[in-house]
Amino acid sequence: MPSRKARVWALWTWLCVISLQGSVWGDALRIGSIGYLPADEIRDFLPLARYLSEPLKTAGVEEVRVIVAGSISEMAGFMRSGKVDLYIDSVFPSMIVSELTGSRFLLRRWKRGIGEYRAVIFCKNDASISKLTDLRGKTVAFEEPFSSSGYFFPKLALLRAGLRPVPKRESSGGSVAAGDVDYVFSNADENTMAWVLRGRVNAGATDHQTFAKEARGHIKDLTILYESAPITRHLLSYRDGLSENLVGKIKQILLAMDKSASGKKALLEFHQTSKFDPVPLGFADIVSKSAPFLRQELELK
Amino acid sequence: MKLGIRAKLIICAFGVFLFTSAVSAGFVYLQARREILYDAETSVKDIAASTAGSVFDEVYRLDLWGLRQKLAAARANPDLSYTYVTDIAGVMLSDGSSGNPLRDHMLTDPFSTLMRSSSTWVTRIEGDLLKVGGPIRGPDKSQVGYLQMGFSLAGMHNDLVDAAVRAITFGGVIGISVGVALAFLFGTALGRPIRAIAEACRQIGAGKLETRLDGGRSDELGEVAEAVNSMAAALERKIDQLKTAQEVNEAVTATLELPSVLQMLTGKIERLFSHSPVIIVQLVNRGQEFEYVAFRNVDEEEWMAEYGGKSRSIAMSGLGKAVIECEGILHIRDLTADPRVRHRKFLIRQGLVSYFGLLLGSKDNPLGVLTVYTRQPHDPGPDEVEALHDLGRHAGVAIQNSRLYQASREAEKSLAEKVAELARSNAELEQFAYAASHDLQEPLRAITGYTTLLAKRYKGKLDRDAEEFIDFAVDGANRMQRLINDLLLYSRVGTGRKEFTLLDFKALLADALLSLKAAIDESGACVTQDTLPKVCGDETQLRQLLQNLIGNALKYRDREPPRIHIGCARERDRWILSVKDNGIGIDPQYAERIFAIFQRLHTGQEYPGTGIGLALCKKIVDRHGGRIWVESAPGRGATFYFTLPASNFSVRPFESTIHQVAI
Repeated sequence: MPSRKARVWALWTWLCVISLQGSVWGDALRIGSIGYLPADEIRDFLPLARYLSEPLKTAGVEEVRVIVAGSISEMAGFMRSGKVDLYIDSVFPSMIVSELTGSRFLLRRWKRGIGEYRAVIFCKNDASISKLTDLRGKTVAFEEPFSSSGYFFPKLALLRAGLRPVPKRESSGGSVAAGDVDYVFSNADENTMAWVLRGRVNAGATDHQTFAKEARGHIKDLTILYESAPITRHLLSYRDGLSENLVGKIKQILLAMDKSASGKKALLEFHQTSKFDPVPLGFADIVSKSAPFLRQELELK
Repeated sequence: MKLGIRAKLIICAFGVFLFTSAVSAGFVYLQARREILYDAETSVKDIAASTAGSVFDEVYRLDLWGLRQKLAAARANPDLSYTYVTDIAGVMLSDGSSGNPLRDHMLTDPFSTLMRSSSTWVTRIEGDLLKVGGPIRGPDKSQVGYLQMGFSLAGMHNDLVDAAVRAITFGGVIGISVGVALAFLFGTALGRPIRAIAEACRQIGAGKLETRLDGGRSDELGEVAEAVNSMAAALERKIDQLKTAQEVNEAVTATLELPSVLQMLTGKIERLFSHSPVIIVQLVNRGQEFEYVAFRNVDEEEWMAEYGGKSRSIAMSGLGKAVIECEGILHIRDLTADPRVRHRKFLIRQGLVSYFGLLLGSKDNPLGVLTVYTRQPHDPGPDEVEALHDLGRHAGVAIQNSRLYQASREAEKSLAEKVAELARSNAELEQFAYAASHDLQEPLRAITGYTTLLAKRYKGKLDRDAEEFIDFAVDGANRMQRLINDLLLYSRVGTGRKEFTLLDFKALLADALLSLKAAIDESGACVTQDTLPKVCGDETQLRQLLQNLIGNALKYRDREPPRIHIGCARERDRWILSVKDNGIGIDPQYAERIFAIFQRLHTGQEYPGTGIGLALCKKIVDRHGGRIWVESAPGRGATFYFTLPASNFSVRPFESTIHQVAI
């Protein structure tokens, strides 16, 4: 019996083949997304695609399509080859894709009324841990490898604190090398919280909103060891080489979406998006500061 | 609403089958419920065990996200209301929802406690939920937590309802159809004879007593039919008896001739006893002898020759005496074997075997004996005895009536003789009174004339005593003259015998008042009157009647001037006329006496008179078929009333105050 992951990959591959067979790259605008479940991704992105298709006809775009990639590297490949024109994702994947393909950030996406969040590293009060350096020799739970708040920025914080986060090895038998911080992926923020609360790991990382949501009545039992600066929630990037006129047109349309009823409706259907606005000015600084670490991560992967 | 038996049977059957169907449906429902519950418990245990196996890894790895995904997938089952996964301590891990409100809570409800105390899967129904819970174990049987699931019983209820509906529909339709069909058949089978019985009863009620029902059934309806037939037969007999009784009664009341009544009675008895000899004797000579009064189907002379020679009367003895002594009916089945029977050979020769003797009249007043002989041994049935009693009662009545008739005829004859004698005596008396009065008038006129002449011629020439004696003699002669005149008038009322004519009472009153004019003027009387009628009578006598009554009112006046009113009122077929005054009045105790002849309440010095006036009035009113009376009290005046016939105009005077009674 194939595993769930294998089934997802098979489906994704099939969809890609189908998409490639019928694609007419020249006259279509392609919006890309990364996801394990292409059908769900397409369903989520279709409202935005439909909204853009009409006004973009004046710019020579005959249709707007949704392209789903199974990984960041694949998305980077799509963008490099021009098979994806726009890419919308959280900060960390967007930065990776930008690093790999030279794509540029166009707009910030607000979801559920939130445009920014902070990454946090937390532990239980009774864990004798009060600062990040106390995590030396301890195990930290991250969410997943491409999570901005659940992996990238917390890991960056550990590195900046002089720690050396390393993936936990099954053969270590639970012991952590001195000076290292072992980390494991919980695959979900609720798992991260449960593992911390039940002592399976010494600390966990997530964003501050998820932390408040998952901690619930245990919030008094938890200590936040680290809280990052505000991080843009989602970014819309466009591939290198896309017509500036078209980019300008797209930007104009997206910025005006929350001003019209049809635009609001499309935004709401687009996974509860609140609006698009310009990328904050300080974000470039974050990107520049994160670049070395980002490259290191890319080397690791 | 009127429902026939068939309709009632159908309704009853419908109800019974409905009830049966309901009970069956309930039974089926309970059975189905038990089976469905058992199946459901088995099924949910399988589902729970399967789910528990699938989530083992997630629980083991504490992958709440993965656990949630799997539980969410499990909840695709529409009957699944909730899923709880707890750790080994019972602390909630996930309920399959993203909210997961019970996460980290200890489940302490009874079922969760029960679940944790059991090492196997347990189930329980709570409300509309079928709960199942048990351990989550890995392939190595190591337990990592508990899984609890709640399944809605709505689906099961729907299955149960479907099962019940199917049972009710199937059982009900078949049951009701069969029930209604059977009820229809039974109803028809019962309704037809019942309608026949009802129709027969209606026919019998309408008088067709010969109506009978077919008695072919052996059930209760057959009994009813038999009872109706018996009732009709009894009614027929009763009616026959009543007709007989009516005929006899009519015969008894129609004639007082005993032989003819008894002849008819014996005819009825003969019919009742199939031409048997019937003999009736009555007790005569103060109960010492029997007298033969009726024979039927027997040679009368031969019988009398055997028992009494040529006489119709014989001494009371033998069976007849025994009947009177037994005070009822005497039945002898075999005459030849009874020692009380005399003339046995004669009876055997006549071929008579059984005897019935019935007392006529009563024990206290025995009138005779009714005897029936039969030519075959015979025991009388209740109907025969009853009929014999009825006929015997009528025979007794006939004998009693005959005797009364005989007595009344004798009394009538005696009365007629006395009436004739009295009438003759009255006539002679009246004739004598008239003759005496008439004959006395002549010498009295001589006495009166000469005493008056003596008083006139020798007035002042004789001494005072002589003049006084002469005055006495003149006065006495005058009074005797008035007395004789009045007696003449009185006797003429009975002897005059003028035919009655129609008279105007108003004219009669005017004549009377004219005759009394001097006295009215002298007394200053006021006479008033009602509207007076026309009456039929003797003009002279009625005028005399008014003169006497008004004259009395003028004579017996008080100090006040007389006020006299002649009144009149109609009462049915007569006129009530009255003469009312304001005079001295009469003590009510003398109200009868004053109408007798020569009866006076006052002396001649107080109020002169002969004592004949009111007697004359009574005689006149009697002759006119009326009545006269007075209502009065001393000092309050008097009202004399008299009646005269009004409606039946008759010119015949009333002959006598003695009424002949028609018998």
